[in-house]
Amino acid sequence: MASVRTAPAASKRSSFEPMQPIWRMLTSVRFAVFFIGTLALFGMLGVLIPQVPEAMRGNSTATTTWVDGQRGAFGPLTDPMYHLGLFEVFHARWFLFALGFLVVNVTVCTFNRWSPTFRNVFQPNTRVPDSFFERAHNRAALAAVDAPVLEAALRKMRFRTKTKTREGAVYVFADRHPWTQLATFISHLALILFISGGLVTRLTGFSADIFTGTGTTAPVFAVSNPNQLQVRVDDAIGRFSATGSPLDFRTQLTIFKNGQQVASGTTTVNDPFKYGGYRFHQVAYFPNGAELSIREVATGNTVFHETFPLEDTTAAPRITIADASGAILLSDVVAPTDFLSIASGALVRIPSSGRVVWVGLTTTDDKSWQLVGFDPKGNAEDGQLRIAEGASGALSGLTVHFDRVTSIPSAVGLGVPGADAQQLAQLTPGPDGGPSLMLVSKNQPAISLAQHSPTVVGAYEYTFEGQRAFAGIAVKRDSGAWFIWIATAMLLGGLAITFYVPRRRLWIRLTQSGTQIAALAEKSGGFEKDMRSLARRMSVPIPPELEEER
Amino acid sequence: MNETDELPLDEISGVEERPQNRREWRGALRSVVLPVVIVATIVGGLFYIEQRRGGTTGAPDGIGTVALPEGANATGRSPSTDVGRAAPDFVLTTPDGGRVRFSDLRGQPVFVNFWASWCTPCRKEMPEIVRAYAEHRSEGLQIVAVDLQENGDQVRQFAADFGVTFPIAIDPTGGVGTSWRIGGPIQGIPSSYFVDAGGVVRARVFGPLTQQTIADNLKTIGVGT
Repeated sequence: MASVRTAPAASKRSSFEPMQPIWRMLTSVRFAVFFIGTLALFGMLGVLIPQVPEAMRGNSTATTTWVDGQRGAFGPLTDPMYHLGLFEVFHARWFLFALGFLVVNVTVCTFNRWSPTFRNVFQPNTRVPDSFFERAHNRAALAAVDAPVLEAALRKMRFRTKTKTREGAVYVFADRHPWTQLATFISHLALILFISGGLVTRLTGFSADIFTGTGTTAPVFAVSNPNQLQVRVDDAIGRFSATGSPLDFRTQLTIFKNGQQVASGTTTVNDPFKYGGYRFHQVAYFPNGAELSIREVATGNTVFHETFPLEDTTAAPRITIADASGAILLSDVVAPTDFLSIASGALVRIPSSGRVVWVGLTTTDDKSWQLVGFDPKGNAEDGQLRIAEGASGALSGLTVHFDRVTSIPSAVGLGVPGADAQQLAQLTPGPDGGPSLMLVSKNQPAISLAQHSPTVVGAYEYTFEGQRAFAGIAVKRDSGAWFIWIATAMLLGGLAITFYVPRRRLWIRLTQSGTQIAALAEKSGGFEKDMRSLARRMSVPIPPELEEER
Repeated sequence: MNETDELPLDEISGVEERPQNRREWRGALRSVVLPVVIVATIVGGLFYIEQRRGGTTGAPDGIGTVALPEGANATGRSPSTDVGRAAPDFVLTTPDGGRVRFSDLRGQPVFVNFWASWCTPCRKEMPEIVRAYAEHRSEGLQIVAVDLQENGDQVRQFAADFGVTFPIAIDPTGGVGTSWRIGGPIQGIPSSYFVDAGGVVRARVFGPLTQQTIADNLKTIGVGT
């Protein structure tokens, strides 16, 4: 008795499958639809609620400042929303977990439909009850033919056939493109790859911005990294139209990996340079940079060697000075070296005359520019000048014309040894037409450096190596891109097979009175067309109900 | 156990029209675990292939972090860059192809500086390090400047320009930098370690050095006292 009682209990225990409820949930189409809908809702939240800008992500101070800025809109909900990740929906762990769960959901859901489909494709049901020939959704009746004739016609129509005889009738099962029923799995795998690609991109995607000058190198990763790459800008080129509109920006790059040169090429705005899965996009071009090196005269050692952008501007007047006869003595931009409370200007040595005048810019109450001039050796009557832009005036017998105000590229605080923290560097047109660099420090004479001309001032030798353009390069790596491309190809292939290469199964009964054909209402129009084709191939009349509509 | 849903059969023929609409329980392993493993393998494989693109350029054999020679660690604790611990040993190449082993400098105070020529603060502090070396070389001070993952030509050019006469070693993979805990939001470059004659870290500075901070930290290893 005991054994009789225990056996079913043991059997019941062994049949307990703790994974089954999970499986039921994962394989439920309703659950999948509900879950995808929920994810879409989360996605909508990520679109509708302002999200922390990408550049601020990872910087807690910047992020906190940004979140504080949202209090006006969300009030007391701001902090709870931040802690729930609603300001970083697409980066929130719960969102990534949900995406991962969707991958598992679709995977289990798809694979658990494999066996029935596989059997249906490779071990199809070849026999149907006779009533099917009378009531099938798709059916046709043709004149009687011999089985070999029918089989030959079907084979020409790329059907595979199985023939059996029973109860005085011949039964033929014909199947065409059975494998196409597996295409649905290709489409489902594509969906899995799509989601996986998104996850991989989110988890491992990389993006960094580099802004570096011609001839200099910048790392892609911060400090040391096993995948470290260094980008050297060999040449940054900007082409502009006559009106100043940009035509083309391109940068010649050399890539180093772990100290070895691994690639070299050109990146443009529309055609990024690619290496090792990284794409180097040209995103910016800045022409006004300068390379300055400074050596200690005593040792000969370099103590400063920088290529820096001059991202600020200084207002400077372009003037023309003529003598009493009208001969032009000077036509140039005057870079300011003296920054006084009333005006900013510089002493100007006038060629061929040996004279020196101070010329500078000031503004009026209505914020318009005025040129002021002063001749240190002039008299009170004509030794001073104050004229508006575009006007001319006399200064100690000279005619000074204030052509216009120009902007000189400049930078403050280069950290040059021995200079004050507010030292100003200005890139100015040199006397020979080439650029020159002017270093202006408080209470020190300005240093004007012509290109490639070492100049010793005090304990240092300054060399302006030349103007250097800067390139802005965005380095990106999207590890999920492969997944997306493969998934796209699979999805298109799967859909094309499903819609354009449909499976067709025919069950046929041959008797002396005629040929009865039945088919399922599969997603494949064209049953009548197939029947007409079959009738023609067997040289039997096409019944009126199968006649093509005209 | 073989549980299936109600079959979506054609009412008359008994043939499944859409078999892919039917799910079939075939046990936890085959119904849940196996599909997840298969897809994880496919996704993992694609990810691995993608990550391998561009190849790797590893360090030559014997280059990188190495174990301290026997008896070279008097602290009784594993090597670390924490103050009071034995500094980790390494073997690296110089821009000229020579080799530098850190533990070969044992017996002398060593100043280890991690830098790169692209690093602006590194360039700014280098003249001060050059001066400190010139000033304290006679006291036995050794300086090793470890460049992170740069090209030998670039490093050689930099050294010539800045008048660097102490050994420069190139960390080709950043592995030594990692073992010396270079990285993260604070311990970037430049980073400097002051190691005494016994091979013990006595001070470390994350960020650029000045003439004064160099002098102060050299005193911790008995230089300039």
